[in-house]
Amino acid sequence: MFFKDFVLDKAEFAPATMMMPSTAAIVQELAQNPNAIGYIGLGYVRPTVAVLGIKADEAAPAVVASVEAVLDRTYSLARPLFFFVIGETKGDLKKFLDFVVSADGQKIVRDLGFVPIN
Amino acid sequence: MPYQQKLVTVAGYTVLLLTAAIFLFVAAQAWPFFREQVDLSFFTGDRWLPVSSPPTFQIKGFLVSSLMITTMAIVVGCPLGILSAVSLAELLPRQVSVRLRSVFEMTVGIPSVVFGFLGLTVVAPFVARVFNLNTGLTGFSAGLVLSVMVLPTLVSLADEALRAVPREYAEASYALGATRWQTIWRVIVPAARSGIIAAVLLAMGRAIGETMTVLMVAGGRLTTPGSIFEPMRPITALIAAEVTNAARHSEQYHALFAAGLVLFAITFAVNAIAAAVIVGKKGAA
Repeated sequence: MFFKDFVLDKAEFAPATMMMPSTAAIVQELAQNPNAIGYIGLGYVRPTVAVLGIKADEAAPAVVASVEAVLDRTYSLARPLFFFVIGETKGDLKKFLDFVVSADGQKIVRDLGFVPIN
Repeated sequence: MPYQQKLVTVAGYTVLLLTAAIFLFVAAQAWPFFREQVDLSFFTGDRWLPVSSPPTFQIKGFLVSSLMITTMAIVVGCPLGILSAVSLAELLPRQVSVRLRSVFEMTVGIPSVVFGFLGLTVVAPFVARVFNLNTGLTGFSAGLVLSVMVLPTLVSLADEALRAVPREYAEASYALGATRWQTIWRVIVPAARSGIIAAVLLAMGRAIGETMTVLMVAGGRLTTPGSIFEPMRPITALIAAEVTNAARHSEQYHALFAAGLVLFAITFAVNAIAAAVIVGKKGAA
């Protein structure tokens, strides 16, 4: 949905697009098929796939995705991730959410190749 | 009626009721879609755009994919399955076939995600290389993996049908001077024909319903495939891929149930034919 709204500007995917069941399957196909192009999360980037730079518009420079480029907003194709909870956050739920945004939690995010909050 | 008998009766009806309930649930969830859908474009159209505005739901591509992959699985699996059933039932020494049978029955328990993984990492790259394809994630690869997956069903049922042929048939054939080979192909196999046909039909039902493997291996292209060597998405894979993302009671949700109902109708028809073949044989005997 994000890709369709943000990149395709609500246009349709090409009919020949292969819809893969998981990001891991996309990475696998990209590694095997020299003609393949796909989009994946930053944390899934492996040495078996080549990462391309993208331009926010015609004039902008091509930027390759990285944690730094997302944090300083030079890489435009990024989105935040939210937790949705019902009612008040307390008990174990609060502990979990506090951990996620804590330094320890954010270190895990960064170690897995994703972008921490700051 | 003794209580044991009552218990058995209740158990039997429970299974019936559960099956009926599943059907009714799917039909009820599909109904809002069919109420809005006035023409046949659901079956004949080639555009599946679930989150566009307005959305379009047409399943010809998925139907064709399901049929292509199932046909491939049966065309490849049948000769293999029927021949191994013949060797199990007629040719191999008893001790060997008893062991092989238990091995075959064990393969039923291999989770389909394991087959899917093998298809993804071994079969698909192999198919891509052999046929010089852009991608190995095609209906052909999926059909190939499925042809192996239907073997346990096919072999054990066909084997059973062959062994159910009365010994006297074979003895009469030998008494007339027929060789073992002639007896097998001219007497035993024809006598077990309806059982073998039923085995093939049930294997077909299994192939149509298989989800995980085709989701992982078939490639996931949403339009009608031009040939079996293209990526495609059967109905089962469509439902598995999208139902977890479809908001409850959205148009997409009901359209997926409509696709599920079509799938249900197909497997039901195949199984009903298989049942009719089995019953027909009993009636004739």
